[in-house]
Amino acid sequence: MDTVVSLVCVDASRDVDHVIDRAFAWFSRVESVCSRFDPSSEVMRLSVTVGTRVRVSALLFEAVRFAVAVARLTDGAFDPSIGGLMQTRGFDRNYRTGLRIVSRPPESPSATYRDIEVDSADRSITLHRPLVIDLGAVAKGLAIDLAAKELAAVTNYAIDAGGDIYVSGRNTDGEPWRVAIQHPRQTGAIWCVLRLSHGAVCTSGDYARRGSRGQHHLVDPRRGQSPRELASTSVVAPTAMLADALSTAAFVLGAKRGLRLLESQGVDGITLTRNLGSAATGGFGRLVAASAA
Amino acid sequence: MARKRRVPSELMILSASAVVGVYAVGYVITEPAAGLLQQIATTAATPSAVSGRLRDGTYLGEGQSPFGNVFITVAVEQGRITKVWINAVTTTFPERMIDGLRDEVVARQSATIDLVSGATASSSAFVKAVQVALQQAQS
Repeated sequence: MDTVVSLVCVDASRDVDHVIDRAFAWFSRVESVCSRFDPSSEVMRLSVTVGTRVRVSALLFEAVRFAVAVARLTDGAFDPSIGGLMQTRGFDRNYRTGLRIVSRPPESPSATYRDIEVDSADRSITLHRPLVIDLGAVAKGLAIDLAAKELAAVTNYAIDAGGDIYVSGRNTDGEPWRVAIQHPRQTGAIWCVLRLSHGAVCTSGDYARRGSRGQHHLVDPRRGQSPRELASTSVVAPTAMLADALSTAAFVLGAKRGLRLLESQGVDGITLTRNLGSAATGGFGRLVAASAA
Repeated sequence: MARKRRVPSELMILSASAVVGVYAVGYVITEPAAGLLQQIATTAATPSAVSGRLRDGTYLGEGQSPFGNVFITVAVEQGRITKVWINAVTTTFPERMIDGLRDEVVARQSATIDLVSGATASSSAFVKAVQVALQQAQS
């Protein structure tokens, strides 16, 4: 995770220092397990093991199980098996160190999430084809949720992991947190402001990491191309992992089907097209405190 | 559109139980996170009296980010924010990236935002700087 994590605790006493350290530590732990950019991470070690049942850590298991569940629900519009595709598209650089990932496990171009077998009984994962698991759309969210649980006793806090947000309680003014949504075409400008006292807000945008030839880091796994309809999608959900994964999935699906997915999962969100046309779920409006003129 | 409270979806349950599942195995986190990730922890005290009123004057604010700091000035006249200046930017990202936020603050009259979803770190230092300035205007 090439991410700046910031944490705001309101009305914090000195006792929380320890809790804050533990909350931050989850980000390192999740990265050490789930990073596609580190050949020694648990997920990359799993990715070179084909046809064998591998017992994995609870952390990796939960991340993969959730990612596969989202893949199944979206019929592959979201697919954690696209790690190899991302590498071939040039997203093979660790953004913190700038180092290119050279060890590339052999992968099967036709591999999908269906080739990832998850068994809850013994917490094992079996890969039926060579593939590289990409947990980019769930790992950061999971880390936020784990950090949030660590902070449960603090009551009033906000976590910001590179624009993926989780808030609880009240801000320093004693009011619900005001979470803005980034304008997808004007850096530094915001689209609207939400008022939220509990939950996560995650945004998937085409402006974040640009690849070559108009391609960006969000890819339709079924076509191997970046979808062209939307500029960004933001989702408000009870957990960051859910918001993170569903914003990615909705981005790929486009406004109509994406919003239908969000409604079906009982979460709210907004889609912004490249022409800045906006559409939102039925419940999104009541979260909005202010919107751009 | 009226919304009905529904039974939590499968994904909702799965994502919530993931946290429980990871905690259940009882990781002991001992390794220092420093060096791997850039972190900012802020603890802020709740103002003793929360009032929307801003006192007239000009107020300086500094916002920190791992990429450098943003220094701003906010002018308050007749209880309203009339102008925001960016005094100095020591960040590695260019000043124009946060320039648009100045008008936002004036337009929203301290409907300041706490966080920005989908933003990179560029906006957050600016937002913090404005908050620091406005805290002075409120006290």
